Amino acid sequence: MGKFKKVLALVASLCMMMMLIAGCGADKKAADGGDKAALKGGGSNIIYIITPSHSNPFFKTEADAAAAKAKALGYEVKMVSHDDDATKQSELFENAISDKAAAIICDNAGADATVAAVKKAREAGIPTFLIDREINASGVAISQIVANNYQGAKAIAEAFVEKMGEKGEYAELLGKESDTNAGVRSKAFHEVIDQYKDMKMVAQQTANWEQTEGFQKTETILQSNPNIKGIICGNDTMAVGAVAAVKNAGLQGKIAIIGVDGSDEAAAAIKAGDMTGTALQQAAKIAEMAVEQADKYLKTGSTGLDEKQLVDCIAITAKNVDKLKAFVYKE
Amino acid sequence: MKKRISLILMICLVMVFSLTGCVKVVQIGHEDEVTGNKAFNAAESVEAIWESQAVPELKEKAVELPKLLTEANGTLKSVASKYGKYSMGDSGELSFVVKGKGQVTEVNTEKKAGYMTVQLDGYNGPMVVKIQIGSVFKGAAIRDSLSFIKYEDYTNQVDWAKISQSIHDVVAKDVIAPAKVTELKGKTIEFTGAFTVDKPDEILVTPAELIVK
Repeated sequence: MGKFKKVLALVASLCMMMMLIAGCGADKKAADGGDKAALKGGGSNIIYIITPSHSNPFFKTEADAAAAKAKALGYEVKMVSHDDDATKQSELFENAISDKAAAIICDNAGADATVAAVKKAREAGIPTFLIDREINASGVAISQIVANNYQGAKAIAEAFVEKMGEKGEYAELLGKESDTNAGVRSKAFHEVIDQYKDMKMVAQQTANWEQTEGFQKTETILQSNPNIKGIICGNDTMAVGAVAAVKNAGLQGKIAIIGVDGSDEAAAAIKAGDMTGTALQQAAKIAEMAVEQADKYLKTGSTGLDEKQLVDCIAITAKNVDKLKAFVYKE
Repeated sequence: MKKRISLILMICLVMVFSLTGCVKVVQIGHEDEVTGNKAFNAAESVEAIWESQAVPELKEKAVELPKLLTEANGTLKSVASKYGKYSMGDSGELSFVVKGKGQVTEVNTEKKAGYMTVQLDGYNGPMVVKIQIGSVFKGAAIRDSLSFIKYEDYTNQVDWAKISQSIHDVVAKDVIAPAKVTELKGKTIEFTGAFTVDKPDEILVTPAELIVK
């Protein structure tokens, strides 16, 4: 029995020791940033360009601009789309890792969901450069280059209020909830519009950045709210859908509509008087910046810039719409 | 056999203890002490820096507005590197921190984006000088002019935008309200503030300090 007690005592002390050594205070989470040594890329000369579907001209433009820049700098390019599905996006990141990609340029499928994928690429030595949409973490991607949505949305909201004569009922079409940009733009719109007590929002729905959904939601909204004088949309694709629904209801040109992005479709609608304005996101510029930064990073170990970078939007109305084409604004 | 089983059980026990680590009891609301993720409070963030850092920095950096306008001679971009700050390094929106003195010729509260027009002492050029008085504040000139805060330091654009909103809340409460702006027509004021270049014939200053003479 004595021996057993001895063994028990030994085990008990071992347990306590292990707790001390392995347990309290151990920071199991890797500190933000962790290993700060520069990533060298996966080994190949391929740059992966991962974006939402190219059916939206905004994403097509940024992908094409990134590809052109990458090729000009001597890289091979693989363009793929995650279709706004975080699981698919993870698979595409895995493909990039197996392909030993030099770098990844990504317009991501979710501010929270994407963090893990970027971390995985980082662990494989592959640097990620995010464009258009940010993620809710720092120290994981090398660059996050986003349009200054707040500045752009605020500016175009002011044009909207002016067009509405500072009064009237209006509706809002929100963007995709998982995209930080949806919240930023709505917030910016309201920061301006809510100050005018005679402007009343009577409906607010998401159309998930989609044109067809924008059309359908607007149709329904118009039926229930016949006195609407304006519609604010988180992006041009939804705005173009709203324009079509407004025409269908026989209200063409009678409703002030704004969007964000600066697409050619929106530009055409502005010229035709069907849209009041949009905020141009300099999609091509942002994509090119990302590729240039990737190139510099791979060659020198650093971009020389902050991780998070804001690129100003430009408010587009009938006054300056002729300077806009293919997401590029020429003075 | 019994000994072996006991030995294996002991080892398992030791392993369990080593892998479990320690259990920390955390009070609800104090999770941030463990995770480091404090829920973002823009008002508090701005409160913490307004009097102690923001206003002093703006007062120190401020260039005399008459001097700025005269030197710029209609093209504010021409004095960008000397006095201004671009939003994107060397391009983008251009902001200046300025100070001046003058007589209030108009207080306009017709629209929510209210302003006062000031006839600047020591300047007779064509540029119209306006000072924002709210309740709607345009732009984010003050936030964009401060050197010690940047978008880099915030989780996302939503939080970055809240900073500007909170700055405007402080301006409305601590700068505009005490000055009783509706009674200022005809009076002389001194101001320090920031503006972002927008229209070619007027500037709109967001004030960080207003002194009624």
